Amino acid sequence: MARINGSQVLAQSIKALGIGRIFTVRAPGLDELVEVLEQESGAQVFFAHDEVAATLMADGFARRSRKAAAVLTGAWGRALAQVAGVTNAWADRVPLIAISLCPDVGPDNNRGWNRADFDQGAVFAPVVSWRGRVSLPEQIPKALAKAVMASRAGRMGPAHLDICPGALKASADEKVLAFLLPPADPDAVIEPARIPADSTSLNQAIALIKNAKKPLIFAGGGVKASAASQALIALAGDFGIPVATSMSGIGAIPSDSPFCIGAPSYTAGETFHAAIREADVVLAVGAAFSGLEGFGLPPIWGAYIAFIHVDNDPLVFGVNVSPQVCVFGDVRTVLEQLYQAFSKSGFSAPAAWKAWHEYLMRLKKGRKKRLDDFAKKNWAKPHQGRLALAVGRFMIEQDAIMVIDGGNTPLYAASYAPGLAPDQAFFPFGMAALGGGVPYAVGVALAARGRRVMLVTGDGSFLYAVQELETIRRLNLPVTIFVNNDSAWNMIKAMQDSFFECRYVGTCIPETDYAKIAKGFGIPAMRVTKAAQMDKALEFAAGQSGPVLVDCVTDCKNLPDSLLSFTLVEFEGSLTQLDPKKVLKSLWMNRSMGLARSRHMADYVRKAILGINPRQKRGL
Amino acid sequence: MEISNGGEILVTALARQGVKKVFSIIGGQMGTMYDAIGRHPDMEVITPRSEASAALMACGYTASTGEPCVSMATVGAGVVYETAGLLMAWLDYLPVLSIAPQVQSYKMKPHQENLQACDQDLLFAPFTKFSAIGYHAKRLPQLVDRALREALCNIPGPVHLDVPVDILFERQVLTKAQKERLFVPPANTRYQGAVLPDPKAAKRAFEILGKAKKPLVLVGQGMGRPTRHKELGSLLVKAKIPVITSSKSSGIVWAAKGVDAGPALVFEQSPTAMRIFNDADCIVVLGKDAQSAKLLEKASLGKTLPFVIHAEIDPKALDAPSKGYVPVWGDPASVFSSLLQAVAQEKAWAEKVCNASARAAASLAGDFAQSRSLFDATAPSIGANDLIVADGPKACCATAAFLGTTPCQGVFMLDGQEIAGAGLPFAIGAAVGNPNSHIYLISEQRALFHHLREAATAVCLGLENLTIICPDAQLAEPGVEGSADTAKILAGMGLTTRIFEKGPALVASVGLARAI
Repeated sequence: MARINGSQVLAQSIKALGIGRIFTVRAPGLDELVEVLEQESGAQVFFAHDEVAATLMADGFARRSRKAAAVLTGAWGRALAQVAGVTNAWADRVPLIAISLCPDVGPDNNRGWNRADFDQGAVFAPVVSWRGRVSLPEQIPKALAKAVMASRAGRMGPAHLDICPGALKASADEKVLAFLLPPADPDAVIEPARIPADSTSLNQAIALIKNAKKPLIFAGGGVKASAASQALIALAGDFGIPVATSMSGIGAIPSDSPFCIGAPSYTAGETFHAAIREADVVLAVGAAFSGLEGFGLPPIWGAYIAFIHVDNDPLVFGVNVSPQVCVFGDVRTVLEQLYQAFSKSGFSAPAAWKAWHEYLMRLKKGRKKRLDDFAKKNWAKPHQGRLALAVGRFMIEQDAIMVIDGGNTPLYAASYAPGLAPDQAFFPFGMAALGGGVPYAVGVALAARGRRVMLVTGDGSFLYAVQELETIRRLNLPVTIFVNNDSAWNMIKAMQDSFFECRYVGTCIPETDYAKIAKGFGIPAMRVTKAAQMDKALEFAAGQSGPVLVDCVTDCKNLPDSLLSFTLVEFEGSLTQLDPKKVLKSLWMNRSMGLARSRHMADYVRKAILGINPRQKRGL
Repeated sequence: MEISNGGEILVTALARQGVKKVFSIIGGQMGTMYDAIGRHPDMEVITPRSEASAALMACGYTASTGEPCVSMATVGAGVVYETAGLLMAWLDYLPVLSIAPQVQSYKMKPHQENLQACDQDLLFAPFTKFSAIGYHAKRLPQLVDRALREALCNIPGPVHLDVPVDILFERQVLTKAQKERLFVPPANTRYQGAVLPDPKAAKRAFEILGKAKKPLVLVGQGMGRPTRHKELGSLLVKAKIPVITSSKSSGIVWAAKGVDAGPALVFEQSPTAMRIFNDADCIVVLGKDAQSAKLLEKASLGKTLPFVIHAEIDPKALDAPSKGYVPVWGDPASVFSSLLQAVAQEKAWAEKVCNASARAAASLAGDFAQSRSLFDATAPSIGANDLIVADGPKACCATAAFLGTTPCQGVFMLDGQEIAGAGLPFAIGAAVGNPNSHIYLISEQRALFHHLREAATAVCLGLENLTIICPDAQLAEPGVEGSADTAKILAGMGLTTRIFEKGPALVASVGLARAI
């Protein structure tokens, strides 16, 4: 039998497993391997400038396409640079394959002078579904196959494989490849196992829902991972059950759908707060009740909610809420089972459900009007909401896909986004990490094959991977970048305003012309400093077939109102510890935010957090 | 009575331990810490444009000043960016203190699906000397003291501390006396003095070195830097034995004629230069690291090595004594000081080693050799107080070859083998730490692009003492990979840029450029 080297074994394994895209960075020790992969693996190889960006690109590609993607880097610092992107994938259950070279010698556990032989794989352990290390070429096929399988089985997540350079250089008998199945289609979408719910739990769930007076479906990212949007919309629409989504579930149901309560999570303001406070039965599908939504617990969520939790990972059940019914199964399959059961029984929504639905829609309508009116006021600098509305309009006109990046910017983007399809908005909500915008835009654009991608990013996060503007330009990707340029790490600056006597430390960014930076990369760009220029900017952006940037100067005094809800949950038990005298002093010092802004935030507190909505409750 | 909080106690503890700079991007959970730093007269936050650069800046600051500093990032999403940068501190034996907030203490380990939660302490454990969680505000000063002691003593390295957000915000109502009792005076708890050599081993080493006619010194682990026995450099110059420095200790005898035999990288990559080891009859290893170990391994292939005298401050880092190998426990500076009298200075041998290295460095400079005139033009503006940071293997070899006789305060060779593109943030950290020195960053284009965003940080900080020199800068060839117009990009970020002669070399700086 012929002998082949480890690099060739890896190439053939990648081909057999259908990993169609590899994101990497040119590096010493890696160039030879990459050449073999380009020639023999059948995968498309894309080059980033930096390993952090390469990993995020692979993650972005995997999220949009739901196809197999891998990142490949050198060892040591190059390998550990993957951790940021891998952690995002882990938090959001993306089946990313992360491959890195590692030292040939095993880890030195005695940790004397030899720092280079540290346990590289152990660094990934807390943030992967599976990890392995191969030191011989014969080990590669099985290990990579296991990595792929583990990343997709049950709760999806990234898998990491360390490969010793010696394994790549050594030769092996070609028969080591016999282990592998015939080449998988690199364009096959990764489907979860369609496990149905058992009849006992299903019937319990159905009974609970039928007896509800104010049912609510809470849809998480699992709905999108399971491609269950249509099933969700059918169940909600045909049986009149309102749907709220988590942040990760953005687009699981279009926000403008008549049965969706609006924007995801707290960005739906009083509608979301009322829904989760007043519902009596919540059908949670593919949602983990994470901290981002208050863990599903009082006081933000109702104290007497009967939860039905549907997920394909039994370890999620009971972590925070104690469900009355746990339904183990694939989200789409279970939703279809529920739909069939309701249909067969001739069930139709009772009057109480209709009244509940109408109440939530009144709140939704009121919120939208309030947000739109506020954004369109005659502000000195463009309001971030105005930018978000413009961006939303652009999205519809261009049929674009949105990638979001930043702190406050995702809140604005989500609050004002038009109705989205499930694969139309991307942000790593599990880690809420900054800086992934530009590389995610690359990955999403490559997955979207020619469709326009719109990156909406804060200025604090934009520069993280700015070097990849060169990648965008080189590949001539149709990426339109809107920078929300408020010259601040504004989410935290707001905290310093409100609690720390306006002592700004590390939150002010000097005025920066991002249009100039983009032009430096050869990307056409325009700067907007007045609201009246917004239309012209959109026209300019729409006129570019390739990459383009709009730098929109906004006012850092503006804050998304839903930030108040996030802060309450995120800082549970902490803010009340601050010295009250200093907090009062801070609020007094911050009075320059203006009456309109103060009233807007006070309205949010009243309507959303305290739930005082007499007009909507009375049906007005 | 004073109302304080965990964040304020932590910051006070850091300040009392001599920490002045914190390289960090803020997250809400660090609010109390940032507020305390803002009110402290001696501390400052330096904000990069990505956490990935924060730890690298901390490395540059600490390596060039010898002072402890902190790299800080927010829970989960922020701190995971730091891994590669903190790895540099690990591999380069730098005492950087990494701090990160965590989610609420009652919601972690195991976490409850909190936003941004992950087991950070486990993530950092494999490449830190110490990774701990502060579960009580009153214990924080003790933990800071312990962390810095671990970081600085024996063989230095980074340490990591997680502090849950509720601990950072938890109100502490203390009397002045109670507050004072929390803090440990650093002088009492951190030994950084000499570790004199084990007399028996030192005597044996003295005998061996005394008989050697062609000795070599191999310095690694950051020995000789401001962080570790800075006096070693002058001892080595006095001895006049050729000294090869690993990248961790590069530049400690820079431009010392007949002593500076250049970076280990040159010998690693040049078989011609490596032949020197065939002639050496005694090698003194002061602080072994991966690069110096690789050289020794290469030198011994197929034949017996000459005598090796190996000095370490941590006895566990030594091997067992054997024929031809003499381990000496003691800090390498004290060990070498004890050996000084044994050294017979062989001028011809020293010149042979240094010349072989210089020739090899020039040939390894590759296409950077075409930029010889750039290096010649740069040399006169480099002062004795200035620092050079070379980023990339060709940049390191070219710097050794063409600036090897230009005296300066220190040279840092970042050869890119373990950490890619660290040069710009490292140089920024060095510039922050050495305001009276000029920092010259000589970087390959590919390396520069890794942390390109930090050009904006240099502008924001007004670092007029930083000059960036990119000998292979691409100047726009549309459609060709990596062919961004580097000059335009840096100018877009606010730097003043100039093409040297007709290119491709590029010189960039904040404000007015140095005359190059």
